[in-house]
Amino acid sequence: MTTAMDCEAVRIGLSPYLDGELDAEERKAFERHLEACKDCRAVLDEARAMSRVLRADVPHERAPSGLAARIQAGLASGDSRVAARRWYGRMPALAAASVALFLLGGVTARWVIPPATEMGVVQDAAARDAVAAHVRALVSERTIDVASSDQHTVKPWFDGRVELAPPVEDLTGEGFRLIGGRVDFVGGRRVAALVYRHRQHVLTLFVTPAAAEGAGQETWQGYNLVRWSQGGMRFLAVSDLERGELERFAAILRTRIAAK
Amino acid sequence: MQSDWETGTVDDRTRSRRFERLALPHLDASYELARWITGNRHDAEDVVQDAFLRAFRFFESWQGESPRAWLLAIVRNAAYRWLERNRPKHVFAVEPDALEAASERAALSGALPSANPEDAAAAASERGRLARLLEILPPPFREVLILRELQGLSYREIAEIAAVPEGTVMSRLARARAELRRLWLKDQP
Repeated sequence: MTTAMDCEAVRIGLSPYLDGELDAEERKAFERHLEACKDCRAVLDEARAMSRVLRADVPHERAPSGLAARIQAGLASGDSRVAARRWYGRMPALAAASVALFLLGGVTARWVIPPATEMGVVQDAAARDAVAAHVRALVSERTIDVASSDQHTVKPWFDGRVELAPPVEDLTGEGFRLIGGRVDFVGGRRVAALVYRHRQHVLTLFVTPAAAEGAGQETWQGYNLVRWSQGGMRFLAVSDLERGELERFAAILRTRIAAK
Repeated sequence: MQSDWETGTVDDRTRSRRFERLALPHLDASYELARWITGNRHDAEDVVQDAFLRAFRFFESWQGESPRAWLLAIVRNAAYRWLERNRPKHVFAVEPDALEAASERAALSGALPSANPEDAAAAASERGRLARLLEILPPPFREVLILRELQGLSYREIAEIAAVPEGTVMSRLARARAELRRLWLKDQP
């Protein structure tokens, strides 16, 4: 359908256009009008420039260093602590067992979760790029270039577009539906990006031909990351999914790939 | 014998660890939003701390939606409560006309809500000019710009945070941009 847009409609649609909130149809109509209308192009350019200045000019605020620790202390000083103390007094043997459990829990937690002060800090560029690419795709609503839940359609699509043939697995049965793939840039190279959906969350899996490095989980700007190396490939999964769910995805996929 | 205490305490630990894992990644975003609503860093800290502990108490109300939106909604409420208590003059009606009138008044009186020396230094430089203008905008305009431009959230997330329909986010954002542009042009040296 090709509805012609007038200048007024275009000016109203300016904000959602800039923000990537128009659907494909609306965007097309919008751009068709822009091509023909110099005035509206000028208005758009100006709005875009201001948005750019705003992003560049206004410094990001970071939480002061002690705040996370204070919140954690606040969480710990709830009723639970009082309850624990009372209980220890009554049953020393079980108390000891429980302390052991706590310690064990503490160790596990430290191993899995980076300390709060390091949260939000990802040291290497690949992880940062991956999150940026994931977010960019979500914002522009161009999450996929080849839309298919069929691995036999998606896999050949990557031939000649990226350096390696990524393993393409549909995990619908496990709750992660493959919705397609695209080529993206991570660490300065073209890489395969596979897009999955889990409930309302989108998950991007980047596959690069990098050398083996450690596995781990991180958090960057509120997005969770899980990465690992397998079969000479490097996998990096990014999503706003809860960390536990993202780890479950990684575990299932690892097993699937290993079984091939 | 099954001990309620035992399950109680271990569950509490697990619960607070889960909460930390979910909430702490959004600490910077929370602080940034609170800072822009309250207008200063010290109060933003108190607001965020209060909001996080409140969020923890109501952790069960989180339904698995975007944790960021859930948390920022709580932070936003805490920040507005703080404003109401401490700066009743800065809480505006949300009708668009009232908003524009309010930013006009603030601009005319040259009122800058902050007396922080760092901010004063920033205001003196050209680089901080837009940030300073942002400070003049009424909070409902300011917050949509922060959430969209600085934090890159979608309309849906912003709608969830500000508890308004997506259409309202769209029109508010458009007005906020127009208003910021107007102030910017007026403020040209």
